[in-house]
Amino acid sequence: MASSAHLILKIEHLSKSFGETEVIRDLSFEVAAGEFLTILGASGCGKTTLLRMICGLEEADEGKIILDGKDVTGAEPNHRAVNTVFQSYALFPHMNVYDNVAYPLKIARVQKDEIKQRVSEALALVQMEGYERRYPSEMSGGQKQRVAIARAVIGQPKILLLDEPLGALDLNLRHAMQGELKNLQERLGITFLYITHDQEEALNMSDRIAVMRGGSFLQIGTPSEIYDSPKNVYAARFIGEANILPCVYEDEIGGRYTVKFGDNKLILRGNKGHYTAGDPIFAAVRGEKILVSAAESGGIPATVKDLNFAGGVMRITAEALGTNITAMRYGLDRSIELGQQVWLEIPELAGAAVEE
Amino acid sequence: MMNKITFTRIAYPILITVLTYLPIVVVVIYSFNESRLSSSWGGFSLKWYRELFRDEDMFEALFNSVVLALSSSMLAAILATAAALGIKNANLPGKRLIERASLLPLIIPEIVLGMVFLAFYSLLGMKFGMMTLILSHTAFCVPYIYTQVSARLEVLDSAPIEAARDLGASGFMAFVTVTLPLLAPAILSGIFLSFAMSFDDVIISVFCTGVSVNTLPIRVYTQLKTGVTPEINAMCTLMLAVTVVCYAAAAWLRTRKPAKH
Amino acid sequence: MIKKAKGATLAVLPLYLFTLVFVIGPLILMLVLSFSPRDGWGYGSGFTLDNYAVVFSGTYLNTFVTSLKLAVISTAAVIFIGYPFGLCTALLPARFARFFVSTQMIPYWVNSLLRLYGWIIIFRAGGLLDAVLMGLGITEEPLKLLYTYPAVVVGMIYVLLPFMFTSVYQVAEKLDLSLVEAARDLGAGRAYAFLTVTLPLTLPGLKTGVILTFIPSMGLFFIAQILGGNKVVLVGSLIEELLMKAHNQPGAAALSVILMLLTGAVCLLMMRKPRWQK
Repeated sequence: MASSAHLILKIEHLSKSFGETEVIRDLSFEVAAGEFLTILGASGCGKTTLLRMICGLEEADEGKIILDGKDVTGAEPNHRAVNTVFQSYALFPHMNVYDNVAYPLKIARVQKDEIKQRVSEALALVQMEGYERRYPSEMSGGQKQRVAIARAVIGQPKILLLDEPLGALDLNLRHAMQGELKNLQERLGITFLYITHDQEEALNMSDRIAVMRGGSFLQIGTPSEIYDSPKNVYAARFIGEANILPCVYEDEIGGRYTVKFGDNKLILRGNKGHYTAGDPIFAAVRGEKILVSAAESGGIPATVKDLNFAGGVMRITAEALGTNITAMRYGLDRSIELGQQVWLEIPELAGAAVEE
Repeated sequence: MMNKITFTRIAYPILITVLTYLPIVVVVIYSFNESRLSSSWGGFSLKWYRELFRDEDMFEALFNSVVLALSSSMLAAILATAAALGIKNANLPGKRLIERASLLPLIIPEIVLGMVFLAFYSLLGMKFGMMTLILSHTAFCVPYIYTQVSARLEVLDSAPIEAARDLGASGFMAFVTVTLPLLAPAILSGIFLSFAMSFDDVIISVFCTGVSVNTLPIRVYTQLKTGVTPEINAMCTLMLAVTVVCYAAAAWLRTRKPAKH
Repeated sequence: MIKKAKGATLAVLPLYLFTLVFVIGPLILMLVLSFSPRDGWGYGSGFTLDNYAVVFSGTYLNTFVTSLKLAVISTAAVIFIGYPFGLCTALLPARFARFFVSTQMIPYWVNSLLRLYGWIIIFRAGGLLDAVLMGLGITEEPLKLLYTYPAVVVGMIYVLLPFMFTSVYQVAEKLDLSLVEAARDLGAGRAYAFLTVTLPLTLPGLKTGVILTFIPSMGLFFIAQILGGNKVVLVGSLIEELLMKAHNQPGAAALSVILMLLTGAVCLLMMRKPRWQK
């Protein structure tokens, strides 16, 4: 991972404010060559500003951006080997597909014959052969997207920045493009820095995910780390809609956290943290990990408040100790009714202990 | 209620168009009139065209008008486009006030503009002639171009320009290859408009020109006041012909698919 | 856009200086002149209200009122002819609309004086109009329309109509017809739908047209001169006369100041936007 492979991007103590508002706060992270890193966050978390600072369209107030061992903090965008696929595609409306894709090569004064060949290669890469003469206004969103990608990779950047590139596409196309993008990244071997607010995209494509909020990263790790061991309540809620149970900390032995939810003892996984017995702590538990039984078991007693069946999944929301907990199970189960008493069982290490 | 043809919708514009062209058609017909008198038809003749081509003063006036309209609309285009591009980030005292002042000639009656320019140039002791004409015309051409360009800038998507920078273009290259082509329609339509206004202007020119420089409108104006020769019918016909040809050419260029270069 | 403050400043500077010297400078001079006493063919220093007093005296005031009347009549006529013209054209299918727009633009490139000459031929005593009317037996003798007030009004309308037409057309073209349909659906008759929906939504175009028509109409003295002979004297002619013949710059300046105040007021009135437009 990041530590062992060649470092392509190093961000050190980056800060940026717009007037009074601090958009990026003392942010540091590293990206390994060939990595697919997704920055995941809600709108306004600073992710687009971060991206614009990396490609040079915004200036940093403080900190350093080191690209492939070279400090590019103050460099102009055209002096950075970084290209961007913009959210709005940003195709030049007055140029056809060929001229759009050839643009970076023409700027770099590449020979005409070579331009021709590389443009057709790039268009082949995104399956847009034969569209050379089309203008942006004559193409669909998906097609423009492909051209924007071809244009961004043709100059062989060290890092490709993607700013919510699938945001404007419809659902089906988005699913198809996720696979294609991942595939493209593996074939090209270029580092991808991908920005999105869509957790599904992040979980599907990334080598690592950084969850961003309020200008800094809450957590950075592999998709399974993030999904299974969220560090805090926000990350847990943002990814996979975990149930959050307010608990009281008891002790920790070898990574096994013992906490109490009311009178119910739970054994959780956890990230390192300094707690003393009696501290408030939260248990993040995915709905699919919770077992619901109508007969009394060792679980948490709860009252069914809502039943919802969609997409082959039944969502049972039950209230225990003033907290709504949603459990999921596959298939329709008519035996559970509204208002009924049920017992919720959370297996050992099925949930994670998270901080506020 | 969709856009469709109804009797009123088509008949009324046709009526107005016919009335618009009536005096022009009359002028064109009379330009081929053998007789000097506009009240009688003396038979078909190209006499007045021959007279026109022999009239060196008339052609000098036409030449002056073209020079004046071209230089003032170009000068105004450069001044206005540069200013519209920079106004947001410029560091000049009272820049928004001056911006508004530069648009004033649009809403000041031409007669007032002519008067103030005359007084101003004579105060400065400037020699009245082509120079004073160009300065005055530039002043009233600026608003036409400035308003068009800044309106276009307002809605201009900054993403393609940023994309150009990101893809390796220097600030200057991005400006030349992306910003300028995207602004071109606004700049051009501003230039066309101000060219036409300058070419047609009588009032300001009357005040700002010297004895030595005649423009076509001034020349025609003096003729209309003193005595008309049917030569000016021929002149009108020729100008109309040139305009129609230009229009047809422009329309033809528009309908053609943009060519690959 | 130019982002760097230094480059931006350099880009704005030429127009900035040009405007200071060639727009603001002359306007300030006009104000100063209008309060300066006459001194032979020039003007002296000092402060006086004489120039304004002269302007508000008999003959000048009469001319001013005549001009204003002509401007109002011409503008009103241009509204009544040009507004329906722009609206009808905008409601036609695009191909037809384009035809009418370009046919209005073509004459615009031919000198307006040359076009006005056509009207002289038509209006002249024993000219085209008389020939047709008398030929048809509608009139007995020449109407002698040239050098009359109506001839001047026709000339004004003729020169100013394209401005109103394009202003109205540009706004009417963007009119969302489903709004008119909604009004009709909700029970409005044709006239009512027009008054409550179409007219308010196209009013901005009409107002722009009024600005573009009214301001020049106060100063188009040459139309009055060539179509009205010496019978119709306008403020414009007066300013010209004061400057070119009487060499009375302060008087011309005072007249100009008043003319500017008047047109400025009309402009402000027309540029006020209703709240829904903000």
